[in-house]
Amino acid sequence: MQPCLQAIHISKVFPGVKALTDVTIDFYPGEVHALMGENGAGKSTLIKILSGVYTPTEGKVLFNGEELDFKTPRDALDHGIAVIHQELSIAKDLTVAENVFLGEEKVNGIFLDNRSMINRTQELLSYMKMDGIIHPNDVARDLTAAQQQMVEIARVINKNAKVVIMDEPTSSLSDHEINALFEQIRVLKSQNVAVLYISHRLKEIFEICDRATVLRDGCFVRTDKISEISEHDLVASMVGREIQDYFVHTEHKRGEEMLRVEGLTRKGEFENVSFTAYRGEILGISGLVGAGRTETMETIFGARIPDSGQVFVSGQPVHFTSPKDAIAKKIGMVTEDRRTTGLMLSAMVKDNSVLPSLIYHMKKFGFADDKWIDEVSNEYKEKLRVKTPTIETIIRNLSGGNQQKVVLAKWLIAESQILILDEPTRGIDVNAKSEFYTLMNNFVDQGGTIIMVSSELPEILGVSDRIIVMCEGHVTGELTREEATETKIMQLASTVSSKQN
Amino acid sequence: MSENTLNKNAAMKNFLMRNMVVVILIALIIGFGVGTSGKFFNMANIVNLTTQMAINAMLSAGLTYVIILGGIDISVGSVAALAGVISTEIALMFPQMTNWGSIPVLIIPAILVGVICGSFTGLMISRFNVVAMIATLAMLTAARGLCFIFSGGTAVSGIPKAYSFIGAGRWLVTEGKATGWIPNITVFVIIMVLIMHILLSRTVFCRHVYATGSNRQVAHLAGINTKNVIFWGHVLCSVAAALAGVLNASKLASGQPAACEGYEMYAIAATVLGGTSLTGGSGSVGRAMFGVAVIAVINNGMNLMHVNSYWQKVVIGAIILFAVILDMAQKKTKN
Repeated sequence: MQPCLQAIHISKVFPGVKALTDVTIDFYPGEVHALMGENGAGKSTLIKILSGVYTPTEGKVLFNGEELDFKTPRDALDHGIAVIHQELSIAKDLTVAENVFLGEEKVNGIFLDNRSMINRTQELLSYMKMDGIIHPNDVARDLTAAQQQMVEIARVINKNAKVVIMDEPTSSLSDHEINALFEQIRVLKSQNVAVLYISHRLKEIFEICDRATVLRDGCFVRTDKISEISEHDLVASMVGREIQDYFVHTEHKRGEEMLRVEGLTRKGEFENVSFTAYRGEILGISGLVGAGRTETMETIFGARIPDSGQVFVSGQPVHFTSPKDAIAKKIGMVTEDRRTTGLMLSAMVKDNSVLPSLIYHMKKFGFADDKWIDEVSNEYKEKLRVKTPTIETIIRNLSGGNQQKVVLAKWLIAESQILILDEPTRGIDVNAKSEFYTLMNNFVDQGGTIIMVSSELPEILGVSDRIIVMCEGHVTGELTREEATETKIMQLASTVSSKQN
Repeated sequence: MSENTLNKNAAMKNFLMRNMVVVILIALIIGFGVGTSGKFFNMANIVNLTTQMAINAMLSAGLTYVIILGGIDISVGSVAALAGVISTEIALMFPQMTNWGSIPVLIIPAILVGVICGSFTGLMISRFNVVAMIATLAMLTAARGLCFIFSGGTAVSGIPKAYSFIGAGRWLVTEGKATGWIPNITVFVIIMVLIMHILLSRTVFCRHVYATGSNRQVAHLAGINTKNVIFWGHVLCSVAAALAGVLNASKLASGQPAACEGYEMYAIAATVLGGTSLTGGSGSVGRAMFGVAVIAVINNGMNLMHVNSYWQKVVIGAIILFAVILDMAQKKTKN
């Protein structure tokens, strides 16, 4: 069979970095091809070249055997190469049909031909077996993240794409929604579309992909049939060394009560949530996406105001009306999405590191203590082994794992005793994950308390000392490290629904 | 091409982009120097140029705070005029004032007007979430109305001579220059701008200004009271504008209700030319001064070359557009 898309001896040089070195990969119609590698391995650069965002420094892209010279992403799209990004790229105020035809609206004379666009969208949705769930006239904003993604896929099918690139499509989806997405990928496959699938989640790769290519440090490492490679080998070639078990767990000594939550409620988000976290433990909060975990954590941190309920810090009742109050009580929060709520991306590493602490290290007349800022930023850069040229580097230029370390440094510098981590290792590679767990363990060993929200079951099981499971806004169970298994957690994470049924 | 030269080229390009305003300034100075066959470099003209920069320098320094916050303030011209009118009205009450005695008559009304106007827009923007453009548009209109109300519709005149000590006085008298070389207004503005520059680069409050402009949510989650930061940013901007207004009144020795009309555009242009990003999060008072210089040099040079003053407005309009395009281009290279 003839490959439909080929990357041939591609190299890409950016000022100061060589992002790709001599990468050659073939993609065949009707196959789901996983592109794997740690952050910084060059996956994003490669897909940007394939989709016309970047021009390669050397090498060429062949499409059905012909050399392509894309000037803009539009060129790539016109040739049938579509990208579904990690962040959804649909217009939230437009309807489903309008989104599907965005940029190629059907017209009747000078007027929009709404009727035929709606009919065609309906056809697409029935083809995807989503009719009855999504309607062409629904406004995108009212759909769930997963449904919005379905709209993007409908758009791609409508454009008759020959190659579909999916960049971490499942990062904001629940297990159930992931299955629905896989259904659609199988639909694409049956249409002889080549799918490039990028994900950090091995389980998904083994479920949906046919072949996998591993990149490391911008170089091609291997391409294998999924049926012929083990999970272990795949991880090993990604990191370039053997990894035994990347979930680092050390025995912790549980101390006194640090944070107690009683009957915390915010109507429509979560109800009657109660739990206690102790000094010297990692408390895992598991559940499906949409279980109200993030909302609960943000309320504890003072970013949302509860309707009722009470939070106690070290036994004292507290009433936080803003994160400022929580920070004063030595609570820190690593948010779910470091790019929008965790970091000032265009600011320097040191400015990000000291942001919450500036106010506590003020000199006379409100002047900032620049000497302290430099010292402490450098100190934590060393301690957390943040890979950055200097503390003056713009943080956007760091890899995901290193960015996340700076977020952590921010709260360590603020001398937080209680750390709330919301999906702390999302989108960071295996090596960085393992380093991050070690840092978490160190923090807890020194008497800190961690409350970790995670949607990844292996992570919850591997790292937590105790696990609270939430479902649809309620706490549905508590498990010790010893009794917890994937099945038990999944049962608790879906109990409310089954009761209602 | 080797990686090294590639790097060097990129670094060079980057450097030029960041310092475009300096390059433009030098080109303009040389251009006008040649175009006016040296008249531009006349010492008197250079000194004159600094007094022409003074008002816009104060406005731009204040505006820099608001633009770094990711906002905008188009009311600075009206606020300046209002402060000028009120300060001159007060000056009328002290016919015997001395040179140094004029300073509180300038500064106290300026601070009052600035704090009141700035608090109002600041409150609207930070607490009631009114879009900055609209809130300051309202202030632009209202403050201008107040100018005419307080002045009774005509210029406030008959002001004691001492009132012009800061605005029009000079010192360093030498032979052949009995009025003195160095304009007081220049010294005053340099001191004020220096203070505002140091405040903006070295205080914790101003780190919070940058953080809020860079990403308000991140700042909020880092325990920063972003509403307060936005509020005080607007107060500072209005106080600077009001100071500009009293300086202008002192310079002209009259309180014109229609003073400083359209000055907000010069100030925005200067600030953006100086590299303060309209999307917030970056910029500096010091660099805005280069933008102020560019605009002053263009106006001054065109005057010397007898270019019609209406055409000067067209040129400034083009400069604003150019500055914004430059800002966007810089964003792109950063990404």
